[in-house]
Parts: sequence; C-alpha cells; structure tokens
Amino acid sequence: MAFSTRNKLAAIIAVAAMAGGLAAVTGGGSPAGAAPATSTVICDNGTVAPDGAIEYNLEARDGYIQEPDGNTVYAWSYTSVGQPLFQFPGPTMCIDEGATVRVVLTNPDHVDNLSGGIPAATTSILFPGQVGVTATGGVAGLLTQEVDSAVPGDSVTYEFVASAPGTYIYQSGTDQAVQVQMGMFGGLIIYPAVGRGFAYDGEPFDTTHEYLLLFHEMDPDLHTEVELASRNGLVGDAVLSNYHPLDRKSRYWTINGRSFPDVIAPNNAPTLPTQPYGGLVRVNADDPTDGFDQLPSLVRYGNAGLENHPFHPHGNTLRLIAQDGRPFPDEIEAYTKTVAAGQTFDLLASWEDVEAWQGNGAPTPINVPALDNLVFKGGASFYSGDPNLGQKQDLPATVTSYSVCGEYYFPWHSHALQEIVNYNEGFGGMLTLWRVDPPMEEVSPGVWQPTAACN
Amino acid sequence: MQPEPKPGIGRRDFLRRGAIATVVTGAGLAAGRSLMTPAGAAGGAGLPSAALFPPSNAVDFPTIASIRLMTTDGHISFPGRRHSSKPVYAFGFRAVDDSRLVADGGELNANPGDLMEKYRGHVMHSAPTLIAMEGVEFAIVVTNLGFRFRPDLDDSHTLHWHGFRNATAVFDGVPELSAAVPPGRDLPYFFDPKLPGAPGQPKGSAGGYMYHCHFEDVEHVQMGMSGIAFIEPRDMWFFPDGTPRAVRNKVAYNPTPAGIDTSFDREFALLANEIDYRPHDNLETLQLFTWSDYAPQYRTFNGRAYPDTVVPQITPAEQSASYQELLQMPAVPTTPDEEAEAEMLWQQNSSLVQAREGDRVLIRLSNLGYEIHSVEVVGVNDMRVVANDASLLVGKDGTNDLTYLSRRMEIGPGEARDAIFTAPAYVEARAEIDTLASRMGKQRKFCRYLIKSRNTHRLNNNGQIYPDGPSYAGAKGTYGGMVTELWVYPTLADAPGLGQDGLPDQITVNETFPTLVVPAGQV
Repeated sequence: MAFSTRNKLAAIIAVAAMAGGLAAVTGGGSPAGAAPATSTVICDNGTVAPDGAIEYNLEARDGYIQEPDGNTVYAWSYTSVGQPLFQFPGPTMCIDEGATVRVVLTNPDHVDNLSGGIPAATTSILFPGQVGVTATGGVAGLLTQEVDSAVPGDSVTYEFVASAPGTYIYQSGTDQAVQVQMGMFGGLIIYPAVGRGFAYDGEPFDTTHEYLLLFHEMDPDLHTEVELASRNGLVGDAVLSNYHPLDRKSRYWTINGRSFPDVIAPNNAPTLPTQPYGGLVRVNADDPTDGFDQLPSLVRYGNAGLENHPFHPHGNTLRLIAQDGRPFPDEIEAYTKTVAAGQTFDLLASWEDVEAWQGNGAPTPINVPALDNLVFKGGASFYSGDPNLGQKQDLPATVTSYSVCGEYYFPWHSHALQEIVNYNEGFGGMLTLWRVDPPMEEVSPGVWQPTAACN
Repeated sequence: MQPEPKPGIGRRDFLRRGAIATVVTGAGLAAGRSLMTPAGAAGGAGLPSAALFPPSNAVDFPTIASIRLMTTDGHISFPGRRHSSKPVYAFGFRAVDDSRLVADGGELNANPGDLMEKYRGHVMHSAPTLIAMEGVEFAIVVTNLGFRFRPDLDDSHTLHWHGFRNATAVFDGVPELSAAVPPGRDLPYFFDPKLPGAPGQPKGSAGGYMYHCHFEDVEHVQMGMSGIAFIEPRDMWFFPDGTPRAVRNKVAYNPTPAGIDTSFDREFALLANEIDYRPHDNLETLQLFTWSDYAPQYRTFNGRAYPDTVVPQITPAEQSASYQELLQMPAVPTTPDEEAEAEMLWQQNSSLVQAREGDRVLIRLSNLGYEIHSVEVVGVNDMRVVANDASLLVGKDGTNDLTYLSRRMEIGPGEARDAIFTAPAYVEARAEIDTLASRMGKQRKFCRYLIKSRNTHRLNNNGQIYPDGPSYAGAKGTYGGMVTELWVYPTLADAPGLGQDGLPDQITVNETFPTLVVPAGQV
C-alpha cells in the first residue's frame, strides 16, 4: 500500500486548513461542552496513569434514548465516571499502538432509571480482538471477571497492551443476549505507531474526515420489560423475569446509538443529550485535474448488534482494507458489505469528479426536466437544484432546500430495507448520509482549503 | 421539440429477444450486435440545445443511447396465488414493447398519456435486465404511468442504479436527495460508465449491478421494483488496441496482469428476492403495513418461485398479444406446463440454466431481498467466484489474483457475485427426455441439477410445495421458492443421436432454449 510524502503533506495542509473548525477529532472524553458541528469520530483518549498506562474509568449506567418517531427507550451503556449524563453508546476509546490500556469498571447502585448503575446482578467488559487481556477483581464469570452489584464499590480492572492497530468494539461479557441488546458496547480504535493519520501501516487518510459507524438494533418491548421491572424495585435476575430474547423483534436500527434522521445531527447535538455521536460521513471530492491529491476519508464500520447488517454506501464503491482489526493482504472493493454481528471493517471512501462538471457549470449531456414537473418528497430536499457539484439553483417555491453550497448527498444504509424504518416509518433507522463537498481550492500557491461557502 | 437522432446512433433493437433490454445499439457487427462510437464522441458536443421539458409533457428524448422504463402496478403469480385465484398485487418497471422512435413506428419517445392506456396495470417483475457497455454514455428515461388498481395513489418513483461508481446526486435516484417522477411525467437519468484507467477507477465500470426504485424504498422495492443491470467490459467488443471485434468475446471482465480467466460459454443472471404478500395485499385493500414485521412467505429467483423459475423466458411479443385478456388468463388451460407458462406472462425472466457438459457457465447473482442467502449449485464443487460487487477480485495494482473457489455464494441484500463453474457431467443413465424440446418437435435429453438456497427451511411456497398441483416440466424434489435448475446436455460429439438439436449459441443473458410461444387463443 503506497505511501507518499505528498499524500502526507496534503493531509497536513488539510488539517491546518480545517484547524479550529473540526477540532473535535482530538476532543476530550466528555461529550458535554460546545463542540463544533461535526460528526468526525470523538476520541476519548483516556488519562495517563503514573505508570504510563492509558486509563479509562467507566461505570455501567442506565438512562433513556430518543427515537425519531417520538418514542423514548430505556437503555444501558458505559459512561465515564464523573460524567453527569448517561451516554449511549459508550465512549470511543482511542489508543496508540503499544500503549498499555487499563479500564476500570464499576457498577454504581441503581438509584432510579435516570441515575446510578444498571439493575443487573453482574456486568463486565470484553475486548474482542485484543490479545492478553487480564482481568482482576470482582467475581469470576463465564467469560471474564465481573463486577458484583451485591458488593458495594466492587470493581474490575481490565488491562492489555494495544498491539494490533485497527477498529474494534468493546462489549459486555455478561448475559450478552440482554446486556448487549440493552446497549452495553462502545468503539475502540488503535492507531498504528506510524501515526494517527494512518489506518494501518502506510495507509494514509484525510484526518479531518475520520468516521466510526457503530451498528445496533433494538426491540423496545424487551427494553420496556426491563424498565418496568426495575421501576418496581427488581434487580438482578428478577429484572429479567419477563425478558424473552427468543421473542426479540427489532423495531429500531441505529448508527452510533441514533436512528435516522437523528444520525446526521452533529456530534453532541443538544437535542440528543444522551446520544452524543453523529454519523454523517463527509468527503472532499477529488478533482483529478487540479494537482491536489485528495486523501480518502476513513470509515470504520462496527456491528455491535446481534444481527447481521448489509450496509450499502451510495455514491461510489468503497475500498475495504481491513476486517476485525486485521488488514487484508490487498484491498477489496465493495458497494455493499454485510457486516456480521460483532464484526468490524475499515474502508476508504473517495469520490472522483470524473465528469468535470463541478465549478464550471458544464451542462449534463441530457436535459433535466423543469423542477416544477418533478416531486420533492416531503416538501424538502437535500438536492441543490443543480446537477453540478458546487452549483446551486432555486428549488420550486414550495420546497425547502437543505443544500449549503451545492454539495452532493448520498444515503448510506442497510439494504435490508425493513431496517431503514423507525418502527414503521420509512427513511429512518440504519441510514446516514454521505456529504460530498466540492474539491479543495488553492487559496495561495500550495495552500489548499475547503470551499469557504461549504463550511 | 423532437431532436434529430444523432447520426450513427440507432435505437433499433433496444429490446432484444427475451425481453432483455440493451442500451447499446447501432450498425454492424457480425454477432448481430453493434456498437456506438466510443466514449467521448457520444455525448456533449453537438447536442441540440433543447429546452427543458415543457409542462405539456412532450418528451424531449436524449440523443444518446436510451431506453425507456415505465412504472406501474399489476399482479404477479406464485404457487398458491395464481392469476386465476388470488394473484399478488405488485409495482414494477417495464420497458416499452417497441423501443424505436415514434417517427419509426415505435414508442420510445411517445407521450406518457399515450402509453398509459396500453401499459398501466401491466407490471413486470423482476424488471427488465439492463445491459450497458463500458465507455458508452447512456440514458434511462423513467416514465411514471400511475397505478391502475390504486388510482387514488399518486406515488412518485425513481431509478437507483445500485453500485454505480462516482454517481451524481441528481441521477442517483434517491427522492430525498434529488427528485422523483410523479404520475404522467418523465425523468431521464444519465450514466457514463467509465473505462478502466479513468480517474479513481483503475478497474473501469464493467460488472454486475442492480437497479430499483428508491421512493418509499422499503415499500416500492418489496412491491417489485427491482431488476438486474450489467455493464459489459470493453474487452467484450474491442481488442486492446481499440479495433472492434467481429465476434463477441465472451468475458465478464477486462484482462488484468493477474491473468484471471473470466471467459464463459453461457451466462445467466439470478436476482435473489423475497415476497411477503401481506404488504402487497394490504396495499391493494387500502391497509397499512408495519415494515419491521417483514417476514416473507416466498423466496424467488428473478421474481418467480420454484417450480415457476424454470419456465422459459417470456417474450415481449407474448406479452403484447395479451393485454386485453390478462384478467381472464388462463382461459384455456391445456397442460400444467402450458398453464404455468401463461401464469408467468408478467414475470418474464426465466432462471432456467441450460448448458452442455464442460461448458464454462457464468452465474451473476445479486440480491434485492431483505434477507441474506446462501446459494449453491448442487453437484458443483469448484465454483470460482471471480467478482464481488461489479469488481473483479484482483488486487489494487492488478497483479494479485483474489478469486476463490467455493461451493456457494453467500450474498447479503444489495450485494452481487459473479461465479464461473464447469457444467458437470451428462450421465446417460439418469438422463431425462427434454419435454420442452419435444413440444417443439426436437429430440433432446439432459441431466437435471439444482441451483438453490441452502437455507432450506425457506425453500417452500408459503409453507407448501406445489399447492397448484403437478410441478412444471417434471421439476423434482420437495422444494419451493429460491430454487432453479441446471439442465446439462451432452456434447455434440458424445451424443450425436440426441444432440442434433443441441443448444444454440446463447446471444443474451438468461436466454434459454427452447423459447416457447404461448399457444394462440390461450391468452
């Protein structure tokens, strides 16, 4: 996999140009705060312990998440100790290759369904794909050491050395049919030693365009059973008395804990206080004639759900470079990839302006009908009104336009199409958008920036 | 205004025999197939600067290679849900029967209003197979004819070419992100399948794709608006130096330094899908459906459930002859086979695979259902999967052969695989008389093999096997649903006595022999 200093330079320029605007790439662990409107991965870099280990203090927490159809769903997840609000899914751990990682898990007392820990007897964390994970404290469970809620202040410490760069998930290792369904999972990224601008050794990407898409699905009836039982003061096994995983029938499908259209709300959207992670994917188009070598966006798929999901990116065929945190010997192209439960993939996404329509307003070889003769579904559209990238025209007077600067939008979605609904409402669920912005512009010799109108 | 056809670009024969639609036509090759001028010369310069579509709906047809797909509703047939009892309500795409310009006596650029009377209510499922050529720009004009059986619905439609590289938003067919076609209107979609080496496209565009409507997608796709699309590789029609070939070079992909052999003798396309008749019934009876309840009763290849899958291809002529009689069909059932053929009038795409022993058979499998399927050719152990999602399985620089041998193709919704296998043995001891050939006065025997889903709990027709009585053409086994058959014939040298009416050369994808004509008077 070729690497050129020219690519690296381009990445650095791109970072410099976007600095400030998309600084959340290296933001802190707390989803609270006034982060800029972006959807790039929010890294929780942990804290550095006195012995040099990267340390995360997580607690099992419960709370509520919102669905776009107006429903709220009771859920469990992992949240950083000290964070006032429960978050879903758990924080995204970003680690550099070679670091020693130490994760301390506690399960505070279950106070009510808005604060405190989860009403489960025990809980734990598994780190699939990590080698040599040690677990100390707590009680012995089937798969790992577990936190015992009957022991006040009980904790388990998990430790491993981040040896293989890639995309991973972490998840509960306890009563997984319940706890993973309830939301006990999160993303884990290990960057290669060569630097955070690379997915694997020598695979550079545009660091301002790095995305993590965690898939999951839920049967709200099961969540309601747990919610009702815990409200009635039941804990431990009793809370599951009416929970029947065999009856599971998924109704909500999520990316980063949100269903479309919430998925494309920015990171830390105030309207989604317990679902901090956005899923809008962006890329700057590459103009093959402009002399600027646009690096691809890096997209990390992780399926934390219990079912397999065939994920279809519109707009271009993507390049698969790794599976389950292990690079492929050569890249494979795909326009749909079924992501099995628990599986991760790393993909490079780029969009080439092959028609050279952008910017110059060159006509398409066919005539698009007058827009008044067409239908814009729901009276609103992401369409710019112009076939050319970076061009904008008025839509009919009754149609609301979401276009900022003539950018393109494509849907990326599960192609099991009953999964892109919110219960029974279409254009929802496991769906996000890919926003293709016009190519970078050379503002002065050798300095390239995104089109100002598109920021 | 009606633009003049561009010189050298004919529009005849867009609809090839067997309801296979092509977007590439013209004059000239020995194979009965012809080429447009190479990319670059076809579009752009020299086009008349026609006005935007006027509200009068007069169609300003593109002057590049074009095909017209109409959208409408109708009824389709499955075992237990026959036209004579309770057919399944469906939406779909269909092509015009005569893809010539109106000036030449065809319907390519006819006004939508003139097409409604003839075509509205006569759906096709699965949709016509589209075949384009790498390096040749083309347009697909979508005309919304409205619904005949739910005239109160004003659903718009779109066309999404699933998997097209470097797509343009306005032609990607997602109604929330572009525009949709209301009843009575047209929208042309422009496509430019780039040649290998185009920016960002080292492998070019050749391969197996699919297309479907994206308007209210979970509903319209399940209702039947799905089909297969191909882009033929440049190497099929041109030598590497750019000289046109006199004979079609049967290869699925362009050559690479890795030397992967994608040559084939016969090619077949299978679109995996499922039918949950509840939303179909609900739509027909003005009820809603909760889509997360999706749980299909039929699994299909090319829009049919076994044993219907082995009914031969239905031709446009057969369909054209029966518009007025659709609802009475089948009027004069004679034999179970003929009845089954009449039932498939609006599900024209056969899945019957016929080959001679030793032939290299190319199967192009794609999936527009909502379930993951595992498809196998029973008796074939070494099937080579050569492509994934219209991308030859070769590494980044073209030197690593990433193809693999497998006994099955596992395929998720929206995915595509191309696989090549050698047709297994013709064994005289278990050969059967080809009754289809007998009806055409020909003598031939074959050995029967199954191509089917391995998810055998799904291989039934709403819980039954042949609810309508005897199976088609002696179809075997206790299966329904996502099953079809491979009929292996002897080589001419091995069986001169039985093979004199041997399989003809295959001209189009899925072309099976014999193509039966539904007897006159039956429909």
